[in-house]
Amino acid sequence: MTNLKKYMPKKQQTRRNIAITVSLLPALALYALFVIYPTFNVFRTSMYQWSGLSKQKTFIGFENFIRLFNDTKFWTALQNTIFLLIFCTAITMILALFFAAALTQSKLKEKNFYRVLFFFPNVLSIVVIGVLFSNIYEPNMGILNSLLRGIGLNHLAQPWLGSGKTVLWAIGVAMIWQAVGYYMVMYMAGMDGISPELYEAADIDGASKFVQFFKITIPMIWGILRVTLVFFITSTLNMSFLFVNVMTDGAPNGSSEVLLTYMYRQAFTNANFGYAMAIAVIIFIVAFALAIISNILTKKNDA
Amino acid sequence: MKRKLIAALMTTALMGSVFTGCAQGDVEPAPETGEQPVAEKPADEQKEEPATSEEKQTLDVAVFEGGYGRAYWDAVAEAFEKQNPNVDVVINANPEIGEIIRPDLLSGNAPDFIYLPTTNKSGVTNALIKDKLLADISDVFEDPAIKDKILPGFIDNVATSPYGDGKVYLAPLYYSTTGLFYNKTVFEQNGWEVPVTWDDFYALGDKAKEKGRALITYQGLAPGYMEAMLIPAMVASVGPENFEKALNYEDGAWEQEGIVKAMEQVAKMSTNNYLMEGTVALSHTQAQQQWLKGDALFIPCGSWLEGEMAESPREDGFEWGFTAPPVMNAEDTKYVFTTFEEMFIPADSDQIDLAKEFLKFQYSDEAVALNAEKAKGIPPVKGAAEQLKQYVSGATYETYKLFDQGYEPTIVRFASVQGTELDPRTELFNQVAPVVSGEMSAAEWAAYMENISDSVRDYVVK
Amino acid sequence: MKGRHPQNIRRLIGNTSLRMVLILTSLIVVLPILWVIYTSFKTSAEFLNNPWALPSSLNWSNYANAISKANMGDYFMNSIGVTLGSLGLLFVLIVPAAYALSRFKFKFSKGITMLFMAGLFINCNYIVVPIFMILKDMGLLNNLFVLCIVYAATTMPFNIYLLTGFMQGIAKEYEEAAQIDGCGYWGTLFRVIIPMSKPGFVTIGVFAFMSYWNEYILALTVLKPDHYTLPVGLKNLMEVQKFATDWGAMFAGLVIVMMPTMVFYALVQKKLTSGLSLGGLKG
Repeated sequence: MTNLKKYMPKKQQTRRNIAITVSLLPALALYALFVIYPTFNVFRTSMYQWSGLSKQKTFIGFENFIRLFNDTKFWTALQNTIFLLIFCTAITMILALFFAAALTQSKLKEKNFYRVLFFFPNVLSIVVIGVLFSNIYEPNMGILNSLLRGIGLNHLAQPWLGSGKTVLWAIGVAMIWQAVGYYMVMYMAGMDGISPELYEAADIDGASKFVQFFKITIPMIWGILRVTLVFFITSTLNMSFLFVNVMTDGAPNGSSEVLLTYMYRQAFTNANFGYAMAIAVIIFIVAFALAIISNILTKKNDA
Repeated sequence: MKRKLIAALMTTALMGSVFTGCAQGDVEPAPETGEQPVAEKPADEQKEEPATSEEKQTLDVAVFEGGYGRAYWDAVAEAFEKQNPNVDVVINANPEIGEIIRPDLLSGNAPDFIYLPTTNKSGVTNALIKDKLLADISDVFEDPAIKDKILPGFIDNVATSPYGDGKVYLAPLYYSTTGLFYNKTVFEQNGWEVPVTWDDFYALGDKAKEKGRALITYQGLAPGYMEAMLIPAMVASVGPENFEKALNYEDGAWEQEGIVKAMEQVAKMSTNNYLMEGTVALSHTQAQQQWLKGDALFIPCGSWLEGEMAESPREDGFEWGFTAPPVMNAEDTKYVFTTFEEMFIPADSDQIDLAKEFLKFQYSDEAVALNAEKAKGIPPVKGAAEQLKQYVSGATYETYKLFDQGYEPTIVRFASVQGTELDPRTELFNQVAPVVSGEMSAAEWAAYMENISDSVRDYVVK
Repeated sequence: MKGRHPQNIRRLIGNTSLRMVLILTSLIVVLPILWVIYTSFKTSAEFLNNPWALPSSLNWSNYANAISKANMGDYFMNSIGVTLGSLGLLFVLIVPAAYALSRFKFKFSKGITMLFMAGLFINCNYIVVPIFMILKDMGLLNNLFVLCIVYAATTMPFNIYLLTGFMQGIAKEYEEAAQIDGCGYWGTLFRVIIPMSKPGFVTIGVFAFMSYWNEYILALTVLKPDHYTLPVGLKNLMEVQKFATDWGAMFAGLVIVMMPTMVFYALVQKKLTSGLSLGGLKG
């Protein structure tokens, strides 16, 4: 039977092509309808003035973008978004790598228990986490300020979500609390795949755990690191939206506004759909640019 | 429906397993075609009304289920149906009603009558105003039976006729007055007078501090509540005509001396710990709760506060007190910031005449009585406050009776803007947090608003 | 061999301090969740008096309120339907697609892979406004099945990407052996590829389950109250709560939302771990 293949390559080819088409078509069709076409619409609507409720759309070219670049609120939102992207990415990656390496290397009996436990926040709805942290940060009865006052650090107690100086940090911490476990599990999976002999050999050479981490662990999971980094950018953009929405809705005075919340505000509260879609275009550009930058920055070390 | 859906999916899974057999590699498989969504047809398509006017007429009413609840609407629908036996009033009430009717409005399938305040966060009402999608309801208020009933000042203002053409597009429903709430017991125990002027107000703040209480708190994360203090202060200071200029973004109007002076009074909260610690980070329920427990003497709010916090714990001996916001000089005209929630008829409604009848019915004695009973709220109709008296406490009743005590209502609304990313009202109140934290001065605040004025002037909806 | 002893001591010290860090972190993770759970049994007055104190008694009426007042029971069923429906659809779509893309080289294979890869940068929240407009134009708003399709379609790129990775890791020899046994394209898929990708399915399934269960922006935008899912229902409850200040019912709602994912996660976490260790994430 097998050698039939050699004699009937043409027929085999057609059958195969039909099968491949059948495999891909439904996915491609829905992808085109619900991802590509809406994306295209984002770009197109960004050129219009449109309230979203009437049928009346006016083509205004790049005027939305010109306004956008003169809009201080937009710049604040962009700055806040980038701050959260960098702050959350850095801290989450460091913590996730630390816990992953510690748990994989230490061979603690309860290793699996922690793996399960630390992942827990990730299964919670952001609505739940948002309400939770709003109560933690509550200025007078909240657990954080109660704790600080309890140990005599009264001067450190803050209206965390009410001050432009602290609100982003506070939201960032909630986002990190939610994300660390997920990335830790990812990295642990990668680290489990590293052959123990590598570490045994390093032990014999007298390399410290610290050195082993940088010389063995990191290079071995570099591929996963790169992927998670790219994934993290889209995810953080999205999460910042949900967290801000539930916790502060941009307060105080736009100090915690991020690009996606600003897009929503313009679309739904301010009935300014064209402008909102111009913001969405910027979101696309930011996401794409950051992904490419992070990819280039991490490339040369990739074995 | 869900069960069918799951069944459909399971069938698909089963069908999938059929193709695991080998040697028939290229049977046309297409597992995706297995579950065409026969099971799921949009539920709302079934509700299409037969539009034969001879038979029963249906009036689709969409109402915001907020602080006033939905009980009134069920009752008023029943009362209206009793009077008009061939009419079927369908009430759709929800806290998210704006989101719910948005698609219907977009697809031209608008409800016939809507109660949704412009302040609602969905922004639907404002969008309809900007797009001029409201029906002209001037004739309702030309009807003498209605015209003479409404309290003075509630029709013919920027809120009811947003385009300044003398035509009415939005009708006032629940009105509330706003001011400062306090605990009477505390004032009596300490022998304090309720302050009339700003000087009295801050002087009281110094005394309160000795008793371990802050002078004031407000709903930090929802700074719009400060309108209760800020707007009357500005109106009293520059006069209603001059303040109108600011609301219409006239050049220089926000930097009028009187407005800056009024802003300075508010900015004074940033000094001497007059403002309760942490205020700027509190949600409105949190701030109101802490005020109720006695951490601050005053909180700005409206008639609804007592109902909203009815079940919340409070300081021992608490007794509701209400006063108008302070003024510069004791002899100044005292204004009370008054709001009302709007109801209106979409221009796309196919039952405009019937909807107008329903609107008129809202001001009838019967409906007002129902509203007082079921919602503990009233439309601005003469004598309505008396109807309400038996259902609410003294303090809430007082909030409705202020106009008999020499106070004047001020109903202000920023001129509508379209096509700009700025919302002037939000801009004004968003600066409250930096101002009361001492990060922004009153002069800077005024200059900021002047700047906003310049930016939106060309976008005013005419 | 002599160095062995001090190393053990160092290890012991290292492990002890590590344990302290781990226990501390566990507390940071667990305490807030416990707080939500026990707060759900407090009356509103108890909550407002001291939000951190334990409840004086188990106040189950909060749950009754959440279920009856806020329809959390119906929303729960809607959520289950949408989550399972989206999961089923997702697999029906991505398994053949990933198979074709991972195991075959054909004319557009590179192009199509790139097209799906581009989708990794597109979160459904970026395009929720145009999605809403499309569904509105097609008259498909407020339809749970349509929501399933949208969920499956918008999460496809990431999951195709993951699954392609898993499938690429399967050695060619298995496939060849199947072909020798007479299996064609589909036979190989169902006989070899699908069974061998099972750990990958678990990973994808678990993460997709969580994201479908917790999604609320799209659901809020396209659904009406009669079809709400749990997170939207919870948000709705919070809106009502703003006026009625029923904190107890709100926390009960929070627990109703988080319980299923926690239980589900507890059940599958072992399989999840093995699924992840396949290195399917390799770029």
